[in-house]
Amino acid sequence: MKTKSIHGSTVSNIYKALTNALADGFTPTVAIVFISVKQDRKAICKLMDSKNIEVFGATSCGEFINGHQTEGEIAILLLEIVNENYTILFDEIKNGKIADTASKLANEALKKFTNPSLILCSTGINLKGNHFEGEKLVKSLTQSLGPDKIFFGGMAGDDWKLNGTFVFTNEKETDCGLVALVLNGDKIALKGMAVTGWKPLGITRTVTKCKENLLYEIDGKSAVELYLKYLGQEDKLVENDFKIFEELSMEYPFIVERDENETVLKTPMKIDAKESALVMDMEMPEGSKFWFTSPPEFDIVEEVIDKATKYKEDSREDADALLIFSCAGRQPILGPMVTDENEGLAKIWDTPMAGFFTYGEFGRVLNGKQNFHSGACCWVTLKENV
Amino acid sequence: MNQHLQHIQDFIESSNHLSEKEKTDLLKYLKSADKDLLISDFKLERTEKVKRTTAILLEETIEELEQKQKAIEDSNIALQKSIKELKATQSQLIQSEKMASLGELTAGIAHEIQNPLNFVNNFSEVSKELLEEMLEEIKNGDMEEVNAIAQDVIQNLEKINHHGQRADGIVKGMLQHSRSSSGAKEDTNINVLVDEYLRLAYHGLRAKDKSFNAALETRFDDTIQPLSIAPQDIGRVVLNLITNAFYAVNEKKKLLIEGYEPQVTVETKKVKDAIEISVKDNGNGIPQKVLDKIFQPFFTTKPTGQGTGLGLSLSYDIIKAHGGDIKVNTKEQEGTTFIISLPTTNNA
Repeated sequence: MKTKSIHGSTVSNIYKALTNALADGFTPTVAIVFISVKQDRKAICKLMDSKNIEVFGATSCGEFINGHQTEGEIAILLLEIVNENYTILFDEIKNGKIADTASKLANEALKKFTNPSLILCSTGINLKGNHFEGEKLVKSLTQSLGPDKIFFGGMAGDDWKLNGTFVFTNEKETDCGLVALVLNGDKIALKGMAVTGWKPLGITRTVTKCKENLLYEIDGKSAVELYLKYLGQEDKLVENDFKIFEELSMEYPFIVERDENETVLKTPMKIDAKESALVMDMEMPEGSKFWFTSPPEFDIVEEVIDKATKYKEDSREDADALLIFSCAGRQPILGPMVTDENEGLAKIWDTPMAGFFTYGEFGRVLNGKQNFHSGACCWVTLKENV
Repeated sequence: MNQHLQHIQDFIESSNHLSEKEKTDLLKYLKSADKDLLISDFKLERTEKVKRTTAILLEETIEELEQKQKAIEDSNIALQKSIKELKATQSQLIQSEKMASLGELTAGIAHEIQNPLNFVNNFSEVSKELLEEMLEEIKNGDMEEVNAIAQDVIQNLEKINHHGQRADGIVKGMLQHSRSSSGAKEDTNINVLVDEYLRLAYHGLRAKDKSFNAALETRFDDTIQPLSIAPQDIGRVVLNLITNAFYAVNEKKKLLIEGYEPQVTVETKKVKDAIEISVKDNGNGIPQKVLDKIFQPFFTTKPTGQGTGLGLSLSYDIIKAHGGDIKVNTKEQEGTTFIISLPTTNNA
């Protein structure tokens, strides 16, 4: 499968890059578009229409291809896949019924291919500011597709504005829904891995009072007070406009236990002063065990690269393309090294790469089951069986 | 770009004595150095920040853990006090259980003492009459008759002494039973011990409840050698099992089942490396749902005030302390058999 990645800061840049890419007779059928909410998505889709290229798109929180990492711009992976080996599905989620939508999408994918594998993007936050329930999506989709089916992807971003993310195709877009590039798994193999790097710090904590996404009490104490006190921000308790996510929880989320010795990061997004509660990005039911965290050490970049290197050596396979769904929270944590992480992965696979900084990731840790992640670098290769 | 590196870059770019290739190479190295510097600055800043935050988090956690440790220590002291009080209460309860079983024995003991006392009274009266007769014969000078009467008196006194000692033994046994056991073991004739407690239990119950009646059957294995046990402890176990058996048959008898004849069988038997004492009744049996609980302390099916629920629990402890075992076979409506097994070797 022939692939190319292009980038640009404007639609006209993309037009030029696309024209160059097609100059050698390359005839892509699919464009995986990661694009800032600032950019004109419709114009990009129209451009792709004019070249008979189908769009799988998601808004980003920073985007990258080989050698270029940007914010507020556009990154595209172009793939030349024969029509019978793929389909793009788009579903808007109405009335918050994620399970129904996931089941519908899974059935359509299974109708198309006996062994479908998916590149999947969901929205991250809708126009009302509600977070997408990634865990629920993964659970429902895994149940409907079957536990052996593979899907990788991420949640759309909006340059940290947190007021509306989108997924789209040539003709449709939504602030609450899914887009899936469904591949014939027997012809095009997906292989990938999710790595987080956040580590538990201190003692196990227990949620003792919560209601939906509001976390009231930890170990019988006020969650807001405990969180701020333990992270040295006690003086911010009296500040009404303290931006807890930007200034604290992006770096210090909670690590929550989940099935089969896996963990997931859950992040306080803001403080509900009236309720005196932490507003979490994901629900933390009463009785949940969790830890405060320490952010990834600097060697996490090496760990991501080393694991990918070993994986490649063990599988003795190369790839036609690489997609990276990297948590937006990794940018401030890893600083300039986040580029090394993405570039390092592209170098290992030595193939066209595109990716974006996400509000949540879908994938599997090494030898793990399909899961929703947060704070992870989730990469996946595409390889067509010749 | 770093300010100093920017100066160098400007200098390189404006230098006329460098070739274009040299300029390109130098600028490449400069860019690489700038990136390394940027990463180092970032690492330093982040490390400082993480260090500060981690230190606060750990300090707070340590303080919290110290508070928890203090709370646990306080709880521990309170718990130890409670355990001490509990043990004191338990030992009082065990003592009261002992006294309660002594109460069960009292009537039996009275019955048992009555026999030797009757002998003592009868023989002393007979002896008095014989001695009065002897005085007459002395007056008559019939020394042959005097001698014969004296022989009879001696025999009577021996009998009085024998029955006196028997009464003494019963009283001592009763006192032993009520005292805390020293646990000291002594060679004991198991058949005699079992027989004694069977009779005490039977007469005790009969004295309290004249209507009580049960067919008693004993099957003692005469080949059993004396066994080293704490006799008053094993006696309590046997007494408890027999009392329970009597209770079971009496309860069934109250149901007025036609043709029902209460029967309790006590058997001793030598098996390979152990002595078995079994107490069998033909009562109602123990329901399966309570079978698992019968050896638990304070578990009883008897009405409130009639049982402490310690009998079988203490029996279990005593038998285990002897290195033995206690088993129960039961069938609802048909009866129950408790089997004590005491090892003849390696006595614990």
